[in-house]
Amino acid sequence: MKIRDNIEYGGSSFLSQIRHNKSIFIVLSIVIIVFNMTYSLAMSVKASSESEITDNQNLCYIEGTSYSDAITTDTLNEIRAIEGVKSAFFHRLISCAIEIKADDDVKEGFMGYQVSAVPVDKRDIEAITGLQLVLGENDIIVNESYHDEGGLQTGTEVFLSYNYSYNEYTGTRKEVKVRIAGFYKQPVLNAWPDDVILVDSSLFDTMQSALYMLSASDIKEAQMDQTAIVIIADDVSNTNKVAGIMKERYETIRLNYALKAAEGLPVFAQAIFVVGGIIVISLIIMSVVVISSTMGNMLKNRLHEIGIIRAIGFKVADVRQLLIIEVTIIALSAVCISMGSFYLLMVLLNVILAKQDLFLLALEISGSQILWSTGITFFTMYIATFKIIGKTSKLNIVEVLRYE
Amino acid sequence: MKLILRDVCKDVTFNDQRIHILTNVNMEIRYGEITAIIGSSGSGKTTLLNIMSLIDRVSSGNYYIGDVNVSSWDDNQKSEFRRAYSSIVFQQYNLVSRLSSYDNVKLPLLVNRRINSSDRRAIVLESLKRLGMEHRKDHKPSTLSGGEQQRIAIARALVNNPATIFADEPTGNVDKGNESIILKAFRDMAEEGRAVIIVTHSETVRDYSNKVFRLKHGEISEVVQ
Ligand SMILES: Nc1ncnc2c1ncn2[C@@H]1O[C@H](COP(=O)(O)OP(=O)(O)OP(=O)(O)O)[C@@H](O)[C@H]1O
Ligand SMILES: [Mg+2]
Repeated sequence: MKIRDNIEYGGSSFLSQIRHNKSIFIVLSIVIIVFNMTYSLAMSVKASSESEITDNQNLCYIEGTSYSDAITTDTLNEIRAIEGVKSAFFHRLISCAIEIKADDDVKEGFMGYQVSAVPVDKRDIEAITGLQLVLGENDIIVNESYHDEGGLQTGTEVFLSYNYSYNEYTGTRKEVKVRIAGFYKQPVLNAWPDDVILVDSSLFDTMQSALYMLSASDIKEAQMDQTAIVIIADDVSNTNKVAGIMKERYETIRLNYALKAAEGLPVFAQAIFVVGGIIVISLIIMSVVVISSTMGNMLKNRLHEIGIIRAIGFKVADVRQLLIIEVTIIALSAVCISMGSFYLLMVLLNVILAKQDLFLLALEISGSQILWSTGITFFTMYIATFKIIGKTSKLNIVEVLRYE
Repeated sequence: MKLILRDVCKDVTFNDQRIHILTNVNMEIRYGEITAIIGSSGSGKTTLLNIMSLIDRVSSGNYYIGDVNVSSWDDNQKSEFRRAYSSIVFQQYNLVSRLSSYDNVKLPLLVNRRINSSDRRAIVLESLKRLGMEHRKDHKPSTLSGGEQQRIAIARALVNNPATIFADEPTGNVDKGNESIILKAFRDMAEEGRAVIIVTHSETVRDYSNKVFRLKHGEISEVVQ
């Protein structure tokens, strides 16, 4: 039998049976809608997590906060010695301002930027900026977003002004002339504002003692603000390992790192996939049962017709082909109907979400989604019908013609 | 060329009971002749026709088409015989209820490789016209009278121009005028060298036949005219 005749015949019998296909379309639509919901959700979660990973150069950073004792210098040195650690330093911050003056003596008309200074050593500088620099006491490295602001360049000399306290209630501003040794791209850390400049620790100590009215050695003694550290792994692949060792050794230090968050998201996406997958598979099994019984009833009504065409000379293979084509037509329509309903449902959901000022769902249906939906539909249809098609095509002609 | 039945028996089991429908049927059917089979209701005529048209099988005995013992044929070969060399006019017409007269008549052509699909329409309409049913081509069987359905069934059997035609009471439901149209068509076919086997109660059909067999309780005998 020619394929064209086959399709024509299958199409006409499909149309004549279309009422009976309702339940098939309904169950398949449920399967496909649930599948696509799961797929869209998991994909958007995955996409957001992936963008986070690729956008993030901060994956080597681990921030640690001790919630009981201060972290000692010995501990810091131990951490520095952990394999995979490139650098580690106390997270300390002090507010100050960069001031640009047209003339050293003219106080009027200056420009200034409020910044936060973080003390670092050579090793830290290399880890953070990739620059091989030794900062002098009067050198600073500035966040690159200030580059060219008010003429700031490498080598520009500016004033760093900071608070100097006379007593608990009164103070003034002091300033020190510094040179911009370079610019760097600041990593995004929870504890860092986005205006961090890197300074030598002696400069930092000067500013800190001025603020607290204590000598630098007193501050060290008091282990002031040594409760937080920043650890930089030498490679992203080592971040987890370093974090693992840290967790094991220093139970009182709470860790926070971007990679942890970024990895949590694919796990979430996977969870959606797994749960959604289980639901979809159960729905497929359910629809196989529904479809095979629906198709069984439908074919029972057609036994007489099939008996006639067999008597006319259609071979078992012709009948089988005919029925497979019919199932294929049903499956194709089911794909269109179910994808259409899915799309409508998404549009509807968007209308509802928009009314409540919630974010909108993406309305794109990807090619792989269509491919998967088609695959699932055909798989379900064929699984549900192959047995009954085989049985029906081998019917006993005389018997079915007699029972008219 | 002949159709030959040798000691053909057909038994069925019904409610654990063996029913002998045909016992030791021996007959020869020649091509170029009209062969009539008569017999009372329930004597096994339809069963015999089913065996000859290869939609049923013998319980014992042999059936030869030409020199070939068809018991050696598989289902595909039997289907090939049905689609390419024979047609059946069923006692109950067996039209496909969801298809129009036209599409019913077209059915055999869907599996006939000798006929181009472009020629189909003309052939189908010709066959319908021959039986005076052209004006009913778009009707579904349920909207036709019994006699009209019978003529559609005959048009379907003739559309293929088969070498062998098995007709089970083909004129049971039609008037004299149509009966003679049908019988003339059959006679033309026989004269072209085809075999026409007709199960009938009609005297007119017997008059058109070259040979008449009578079935009685599953046993066959030739009626000498
Ligand atoms: N599958 C079957 N099971 C039980 N009995 C059967 C079966 N097939 C045929 N018979 C019986 O065999 C007998 C012959 O049936 P068949 O249909 O061949 O008769 P027929 O000569 O064509 O009768 P009619 O003239 O009424 O059409 C009948 O008595 C019928 O009941
Ligand atoms: Mg009969």
